[in-house]
Amino acid sequence: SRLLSFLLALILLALGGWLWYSQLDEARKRFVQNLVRQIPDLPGRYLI
Amino acid sequence: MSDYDVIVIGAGLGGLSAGALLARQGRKVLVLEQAERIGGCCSTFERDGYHFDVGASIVEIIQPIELAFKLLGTTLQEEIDLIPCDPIMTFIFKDGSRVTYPVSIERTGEIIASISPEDGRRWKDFVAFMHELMEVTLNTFFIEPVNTFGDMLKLVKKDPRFLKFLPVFLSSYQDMLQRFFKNEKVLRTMAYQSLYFGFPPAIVPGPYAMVPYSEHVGIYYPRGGMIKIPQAFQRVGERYGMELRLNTLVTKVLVSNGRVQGVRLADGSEITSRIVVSNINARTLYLKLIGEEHLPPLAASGIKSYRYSKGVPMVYVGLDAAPQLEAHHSVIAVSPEEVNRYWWDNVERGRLPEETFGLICWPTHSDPSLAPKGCHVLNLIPEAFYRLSGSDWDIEKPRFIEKTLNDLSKTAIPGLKEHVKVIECATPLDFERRLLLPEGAIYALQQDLPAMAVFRPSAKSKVIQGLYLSGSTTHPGGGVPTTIASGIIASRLIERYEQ
Repeated sequence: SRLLSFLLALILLALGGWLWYSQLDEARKRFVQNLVRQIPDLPGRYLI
Repeated sequence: MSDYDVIVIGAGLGGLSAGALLARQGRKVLVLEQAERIGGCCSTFERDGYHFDVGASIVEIIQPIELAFKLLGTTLQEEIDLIPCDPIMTFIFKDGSRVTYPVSIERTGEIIASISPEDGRRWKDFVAFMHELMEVTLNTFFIEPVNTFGDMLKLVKKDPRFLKFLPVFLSSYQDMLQRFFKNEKVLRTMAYQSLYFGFPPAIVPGPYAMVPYSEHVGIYYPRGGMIKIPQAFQRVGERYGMELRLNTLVTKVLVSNGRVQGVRLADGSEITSRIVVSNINARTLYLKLIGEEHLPPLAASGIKSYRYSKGVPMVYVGLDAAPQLEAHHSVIAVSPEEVNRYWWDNVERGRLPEETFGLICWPTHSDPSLAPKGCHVLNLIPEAFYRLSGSDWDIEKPRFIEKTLNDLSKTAIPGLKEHVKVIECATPLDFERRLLLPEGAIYALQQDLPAMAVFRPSAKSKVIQGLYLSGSTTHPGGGVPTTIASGIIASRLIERYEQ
């Protein structure tokens, strides 16, 4: 039941995130896209 | 025994301010510059009696510069003759109409209210908000090292109001403007300035939306040209024994056991030092001058992940008469959406814009001594970029100059073409060749949220001991006051960590 609760919370979070993102105007979507696209680069950047 | 206590690579503003401050600490400092002139993008050259500024065109937010000279035992006023620029800027609309903002905050509010009474009221809220943001960030973010999350916490400790403004860092320039202003014409007088930071309004981090306010705190022009600023740091540094060598290219930073040992020059000679301050692009520094073999794999992928900042062309024009302009700066007014469109439709696809827009700098409006009597200087910054689809700048340059003059002669500067006596152009490719700016990148690396603060190359290298960074490549980024702030930060870190 804990695992199911966790999965449900994850699904709700993803759904909430998607709903929030889909109502943004184009400029804000670009801002978010620019951030999300670079998340994998951040650990390396922090180390340099 | 090393040849020098500190070697500084690059005589830009960050390198010269760091070098002068380190010499003031009693260290034996050598500054090496590959070009024939100091200042990098903040410099001035002469052609047929006309004096043109290489890139940077004015000084604003002068507090970090005042601090640097104070730390050097002198004052900004003693070292540089700064001329206040008033009015600040003229905005030229497509129909030829113009709006000019003076320095006066009250008078600017009246002008905005004449366009939109609602936005005129909001101007006061904008000024109050940005005044506090500027006060807090100038006391914390812009003059302190931000190498680690611990450093970020120290900023909050130094001024708890920093926490209040943290959400601004997670907003965009456009978000911040549209929080206060709704009128399309008013927004057109504030959108272009986002490109000062190398990105469109949708991407530039929110704190930089303070610029439409900070210009009203004062913008200045150094009498004799922008080169007077680096010359002042050189002069003061030399008082403390700092040495400067021009036309001296560094090809390698010598590293042994994880610590810098000095540098190798293009002629093969080596100069030893236990501390190196690099004022060049961090990608060039780490990947070419140091080498990937000295970097941990994750750090190497980090430095490779940065994109270069934008590069822009400059068109330098000497005129035999005064141009029909009103202010030191004029700009072709564009909306936030138009700048965003330009970025995604033109910059990212390598297509030059159909209509010229950009910044028009008229330095002889402030300092007539830059040109022969009765003549004038214009430094034009038409928006463009490094990578051209299906062409290159050597091919495009003559056409680009012609198009810029034709377009600006239509409505922005009537009669411009008839009065041209001297004309030169430096493209992003020229800047790459002359100043060794990769891709002509004037701010070194991208300046968006994922490349700010702790995610910008650290001022105290985390991978090589004795290596420090200054200039636009490190925190707090590109611009005249910020690169000087980086010099202060580097010198303070060395004072703390290198006895």
